[in-house]
Amino acid sequence: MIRCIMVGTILPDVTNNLVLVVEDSLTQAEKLKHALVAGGFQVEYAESGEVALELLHKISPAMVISDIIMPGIDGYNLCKKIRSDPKKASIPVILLTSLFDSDYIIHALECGANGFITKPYQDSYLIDRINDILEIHNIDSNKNSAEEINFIFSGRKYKIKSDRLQILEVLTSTYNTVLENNEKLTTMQKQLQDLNGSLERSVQQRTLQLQAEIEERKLKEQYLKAQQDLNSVLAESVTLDERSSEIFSIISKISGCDMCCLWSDSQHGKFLKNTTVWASKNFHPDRFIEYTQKTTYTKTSDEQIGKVWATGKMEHFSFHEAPEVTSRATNAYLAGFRTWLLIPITIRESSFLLMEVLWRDHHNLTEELLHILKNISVQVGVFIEHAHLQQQFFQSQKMESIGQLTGGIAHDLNNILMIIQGNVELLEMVIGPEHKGIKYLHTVLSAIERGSEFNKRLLAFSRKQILQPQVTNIFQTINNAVKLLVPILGESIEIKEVMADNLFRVFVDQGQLENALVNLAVNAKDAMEGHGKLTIEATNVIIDDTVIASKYEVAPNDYVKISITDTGSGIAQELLDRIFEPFFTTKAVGKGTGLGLSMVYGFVKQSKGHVTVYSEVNHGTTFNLYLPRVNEKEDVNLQPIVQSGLITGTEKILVAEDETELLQLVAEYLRNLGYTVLTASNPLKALEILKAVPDINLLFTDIVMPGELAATDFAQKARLINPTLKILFTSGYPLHAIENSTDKINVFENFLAKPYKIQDLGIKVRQLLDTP
Amino acid sequence: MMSDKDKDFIEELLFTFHLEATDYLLSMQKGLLELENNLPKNAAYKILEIIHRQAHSLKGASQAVGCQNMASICANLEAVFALWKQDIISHSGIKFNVLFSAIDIMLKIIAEETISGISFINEVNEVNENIKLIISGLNTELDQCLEKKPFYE
Repeated sequence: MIRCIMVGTILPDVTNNLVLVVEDSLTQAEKLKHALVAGGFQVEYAESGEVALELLHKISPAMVISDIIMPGIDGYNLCKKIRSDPKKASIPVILLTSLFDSDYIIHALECGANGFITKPYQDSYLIDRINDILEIHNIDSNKNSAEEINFIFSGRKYKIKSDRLQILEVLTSTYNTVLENNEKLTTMQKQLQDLNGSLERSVQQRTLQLQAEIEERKLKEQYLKAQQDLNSVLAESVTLDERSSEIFSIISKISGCDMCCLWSDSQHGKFLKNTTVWASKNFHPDRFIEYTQKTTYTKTSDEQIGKVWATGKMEHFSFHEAPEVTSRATNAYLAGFRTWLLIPITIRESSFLLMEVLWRDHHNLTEELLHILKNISVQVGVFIEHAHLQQQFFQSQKMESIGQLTGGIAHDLNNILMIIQGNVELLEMVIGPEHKGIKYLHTVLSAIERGSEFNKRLLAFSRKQILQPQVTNIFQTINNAVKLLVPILGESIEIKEVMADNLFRVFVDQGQLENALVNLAVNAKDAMEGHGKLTIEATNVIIDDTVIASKYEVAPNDYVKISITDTGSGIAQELLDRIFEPFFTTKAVGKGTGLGLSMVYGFVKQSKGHVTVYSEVNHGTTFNLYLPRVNEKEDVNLQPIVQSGLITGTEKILVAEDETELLQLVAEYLRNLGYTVLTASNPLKALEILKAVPDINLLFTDIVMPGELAATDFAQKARLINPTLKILFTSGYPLHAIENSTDKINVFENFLAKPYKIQDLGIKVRQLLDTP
Repeated sequence: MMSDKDKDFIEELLFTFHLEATDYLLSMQKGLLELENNLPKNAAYKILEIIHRQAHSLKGASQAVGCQNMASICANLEAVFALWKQDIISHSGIKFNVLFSAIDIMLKIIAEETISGISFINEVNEVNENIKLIISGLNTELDQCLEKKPFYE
């Protein structure tokens, strides 16, 4: 602050400290008054110029402080009026203004003001300024009279009649204001600089953030695009092999990886083996790929892959030097890889996959990249699982179709064999045992027998053979089979039985189960070329997961699992899907019929079970038979009825059969057995005969005949006509056609499967007729 | 720490300000309502002089109580009225709704206990921008443009 003190003068004692405040705004007046009182002044207040002039007649203040813009007399005019009154002219006048313009200085000089203070002001500044002006004013109260000066400023004319002191005071005011404003300006500039600096830093920071966000967004877009590509490739693929290079290219695009391998568990989780391997273009780690394809791992191995499999936790490694601990890691390092990632994928807790990703550089594996790769690996895993299920479904459909075809052929063949066999038998009876041609007939009958056996196998595959299931503990059945196997397999093949305690009971045809086990053992013998070990293992298993159950095409249940494992040559993967097909064989011509495994398959399926096979070339093969548990007690073995000679009778029998030759043959059979025979070529005709001839004792009918009348309905109608009528069914098919009608007819007792001999027919007819 | 005496003074000052500001604002509102009728030049000038001075006084009073938000609106209004008085802006260039909303906002501010105007900062900024548009004459130009080329064509 500039203080203007005249050198060499003595300051008078200032006792008058009254200040007149002229301000139209009451708020500002109060604020000003408060500041002045705090500064040691007394204050009088006037709300306008007019009121101030009136007050000045009554009081003599040390100073007048006035606002400029006021209604009525403004600050300038008030000052002029004070200066024009000789009594008041010496009172210093300070103008308060928020305006700051050079005009105001001139106006202040023109009106005779002693200074001005700009609003808003600091209270301390205000008091200092007042004190300064009062001091200066009191030092030299002898005002120099001044001449009027004509003054032109900014094109306007002013008349100024100020004395030197007044000019000095105004100039001091101006200078102080300028200084204060400068100070404010400097402070503001400093603040502005700080603000700019801070803004600049903020902008830089934000720019960096934005750049990072853009990069992140680009990366996300890239991930999203790759994900979409992967989805569409997977959607269009049936197997992973088909599009594997495309799929792994996408993974490479996302991750920048150089190699990718997929591993899956084998032999129900015994070891992990490579299923797919992919390497980027222009990179051929052939030896490493070969090593990958040949190596398998177990959960207990020291290898990292085994550990990840055991723990189920993703792991990654960065090689800065050759790893010493694990051989796979060492091989990867030697092949040129520096970053190694292992992602475990467990699918429905039933199977396990592992995705292995390798980079040749020290790759930055961000959380996001790891997350994306994990997602992709799960997606690939689900695809493989889905493809596997789909393949199983197709396989099952295929087997079903082949079964239907085979069943149809077997049915027709049965009828033909039946006609040939029947007529040969009749011919034998006609010509008598002494005829020299009888040996030819026996050859024909022997061929028919073979044809019939062949047909039984076809029926077995098509799940249409006649089974005689019993509730049984298979422990004994397996023991029986093993006894049979010892001489068949020979001494060079060791047989090992592993039987769990308390095996569940199952409902199977024991004879057919023995057959199945023998069939599998004979196959095993061939696969082992006479040397090796055959293990037959029986354990209880519980399948309670619907998904797994549907995978094995069985209902969730408790099962007995019989596993037959050999140490033979194994079956190639591409053949595994076909081994159960009828007539499919890998054996040399004449060594196998191609019906053995078909029979096993059909038998187990017909017993509501399932067969799986696992094979490793050069290691061996395991067949697993799953047979459902039943809770009923064991059945007592049925003893077959053994009878010799023809069983005859004299009752009246109606034969219904749509094949004329067969009808004639059966009629001839029965007549030879002593019965009175009537014939009908369809059910309707048979019903008419039943109505016309009420004393018919037995109806012998084919199950499958043309027309809308089903066998069960036909039987019911027949019983309505003749309630005491006995009914015997026959068919080239076994029980399936009348399975659902067991409540009405004792099917097992009343059924004779084609082809049958005259003796069989005699026994069955007699048994039924003798039943009360 | 503020003394009890200072607190009392500030309370009193705020009370005075509230009364004074209300008077000025209602008076300016009334003046603007009259001006809206496109009065003869002399009559309009008289009113303008009053409301110009009131805007100036209210600006000073607002600064005195530390209400910079109100002071900024008053400063802008003062500028509009000054230009209007000098015929630099004509009656047609004035957006009365903007000026009324300026007064409404100030009435809202003084109705608040703290009179800081912080809660109305967005409205204050918006009205100041709109007043500045009046000052720069942009509104008029924009209106003229719209009159020549209706936007719905």
